[in-house]
Amino acid sequence: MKKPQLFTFPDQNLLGEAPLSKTLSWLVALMVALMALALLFAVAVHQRAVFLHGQLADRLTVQIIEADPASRDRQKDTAVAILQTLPSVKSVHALSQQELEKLVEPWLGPDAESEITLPALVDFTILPHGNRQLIAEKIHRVAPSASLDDHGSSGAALLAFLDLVTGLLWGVIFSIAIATIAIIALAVRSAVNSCQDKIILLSLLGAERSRIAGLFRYKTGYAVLKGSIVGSGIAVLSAILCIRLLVALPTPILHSDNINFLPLFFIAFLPMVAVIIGVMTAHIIVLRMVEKK
Amino acid sequence: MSAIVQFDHVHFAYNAGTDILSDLNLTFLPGQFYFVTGASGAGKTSLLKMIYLALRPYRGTVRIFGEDIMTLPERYIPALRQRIGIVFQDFRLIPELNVFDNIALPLRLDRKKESFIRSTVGRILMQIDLPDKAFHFPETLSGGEQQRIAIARALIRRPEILVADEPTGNIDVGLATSILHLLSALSKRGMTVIMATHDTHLLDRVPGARHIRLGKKGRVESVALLDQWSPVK
Repeated sequence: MKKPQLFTFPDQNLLGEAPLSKTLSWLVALMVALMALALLFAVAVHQRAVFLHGQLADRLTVQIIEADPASRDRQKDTAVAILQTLPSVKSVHALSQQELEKLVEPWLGPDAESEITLPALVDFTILPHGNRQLIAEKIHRVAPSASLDDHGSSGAALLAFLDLVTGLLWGVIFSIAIATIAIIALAVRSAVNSCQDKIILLSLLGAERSRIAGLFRYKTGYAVLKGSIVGSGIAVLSAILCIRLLVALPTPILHSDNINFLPLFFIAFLPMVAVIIGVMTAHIIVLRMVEKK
Repeated sequence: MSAIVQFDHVHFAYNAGTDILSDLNLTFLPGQFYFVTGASGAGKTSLLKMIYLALRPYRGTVRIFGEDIMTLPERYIPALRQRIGIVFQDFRLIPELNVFDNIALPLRLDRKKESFIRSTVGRILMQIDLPDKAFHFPETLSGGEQQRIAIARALIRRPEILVADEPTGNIDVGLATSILHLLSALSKRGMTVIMATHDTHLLDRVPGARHIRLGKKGRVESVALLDQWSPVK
């Protein structure tokens, strides 16, 4: 009994049973799954890098380490006042005692404040081209115990690493795409070779070259479509599983409110892209082979 | 009457220096029946292949339907081939297609309507006496039945020229005679039939046919009008 087909087209049986290698669909499924996963991973890493860059870049913290609470508070207030007057500073936020205690609680426990002296912290953000050196000098003049942490420069190495990973992933995606095209091309070439007699017969019966190429276009497109739908499905399910596991971690690497699910929709276009690549490859190869006959 | 196929000083070789056809001059007229005979390697098949545009000479001129195949652009070849029916020596049926689909192949390539295909193929299946074999596959049929299907496929478009390479080579005498009668009748209705055969006993079965005998290097040894009818022995 014949297996029902997902899609039919008028000439699908003109060449008899599918002349294409039956493994083509599975190879395409594997390649598309790898490509889709690499694509999702690349987009996720890029999103994370952008998010971290937004968090760290142009963000600085004044840290006032002073044993005397009165002097520490005075220096903090003066630093806040100075920062608020500077045009290159966008926002200033002095951390309250409760915020400080919450920050150190995971490391020092709930009663740390009574045992050790905590520094005063003032978070502020500057405009993209704000002069950090000038700001540091002005703060030092009014708060000699202050030191300045530039989160942008301390996170630069991490951001550079994430950029490198993203670049490498794009390289992997490109390589997989080339390998997919090569696999499709080899499978179609092998199918065309196995159908040489039929191709010559069709040509002698008066079939135009584009008509013969068209038969292979249909067959290739169908095989690639089946494979790429399966591959995309595997990739999407794997991605959803990964995201669920990452969100459920005790110290979440991803916060669910930071996840952008838009890239998952791009995966839906991969089968179409794969079919276009497959159909074009088949068309070119068959035309070239028919021309030689 | 103008020639439907014309060979002028045609030279052909698969390998340089070894001519298969050498200085061949031939004229085929419309509505005539031609037997092409000659020893093995005399160039019968090469001659037929040139008529259905599978080969081109390296020198000389071949005109099919008045078109010089040497200068004919590649894109016009399919349209010319659609006017020629071919019966191959080895049948060349597609094993994955049943009898109906094999015969319907040229019409499907022409994108004819399925209703037209059904009626035309049905009619020709009756003519070749195989109406009950429509959904059989070639491998289940005898050599003679496969030969008839190959002929049906060649005739389904009602071509102006029918080229047949040893169409009676694999069948018994009775069937060979009935096929010759069919081809003869078609030529009387205006189709040019060009049939290569090594079996000279067949020549006297088609009165009025012309006999082209090829000698060494495809040179024409003789062209004769066969007007004697000999009944089947």
